[in-house]
Amino acid sequence: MLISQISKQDDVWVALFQRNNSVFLDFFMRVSILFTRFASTSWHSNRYITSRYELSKLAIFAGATGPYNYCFSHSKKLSAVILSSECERVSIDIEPLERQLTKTLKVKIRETFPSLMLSELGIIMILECLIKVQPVSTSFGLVAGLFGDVPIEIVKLGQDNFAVNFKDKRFYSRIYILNNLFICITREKNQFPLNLEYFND
Amino acid sequence: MNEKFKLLIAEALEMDLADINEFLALDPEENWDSIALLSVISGIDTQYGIQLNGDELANCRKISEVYDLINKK
Repeated sequence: MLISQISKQDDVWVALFQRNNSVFLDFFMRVSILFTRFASTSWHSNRYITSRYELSKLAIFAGATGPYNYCFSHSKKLSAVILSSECERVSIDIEPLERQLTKTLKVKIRETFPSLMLSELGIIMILECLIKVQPVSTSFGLVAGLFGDVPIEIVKLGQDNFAVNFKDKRFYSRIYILNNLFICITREKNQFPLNLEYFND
Repeated sequence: MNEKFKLLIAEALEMDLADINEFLALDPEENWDSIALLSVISGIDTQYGIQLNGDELANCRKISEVYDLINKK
């Protein structure tokens, strides 16, 4: 398990973990979170149970005892959670480095963002994060964003650092590479570490 | 279900063409994530000139249901 603090000025934490399909572990996690504020609303799904359980561990690790904001991302057997104990709006998206996009999808993305110096997969990840960080979050939002039906502007600020303008709101995104994954983190403040650091679980 | 459609699905789901059949399950936790959805939407838009609704597509749980969506348009 990776745990990393995104910013020392404020409490934003990320955890990356592998899901386990063990029946015993699944039962243990369900019981562990049942009567906590992290109780899942999707009890049928192992990945949400696991994510909620890992969120509860991350909150304890980060000392987050008050209100919080969080976001999950899943890719195959890996999951990630981002937690802000100051209720800053934050989101995360993970994708395998080897993830391939179809030609038609790449063309669509380039039609919408013709001059942006970022891979098509990176653009999708930033848009996914934007949709997660907004109050509205459906796959329709992603389709509309990618196909240019809603005005979204992505501005490159640095090598892996981007500003995302949507309506009157601005968010900031950074894309990391770690554990054969692209990890995109989006938040309201433009404060990111150069690398995600490991802590032992 | 024709070869053109199967090829589109195979590319979108990063699977072998031989493994694509009408009973193939679409599992949001395995092969039916947002990028797969976008790949299918963009492919169908380009090849069939049909714009599928993202929410409708996301609710499909078998390839045959995606094929039916196209035929209804």
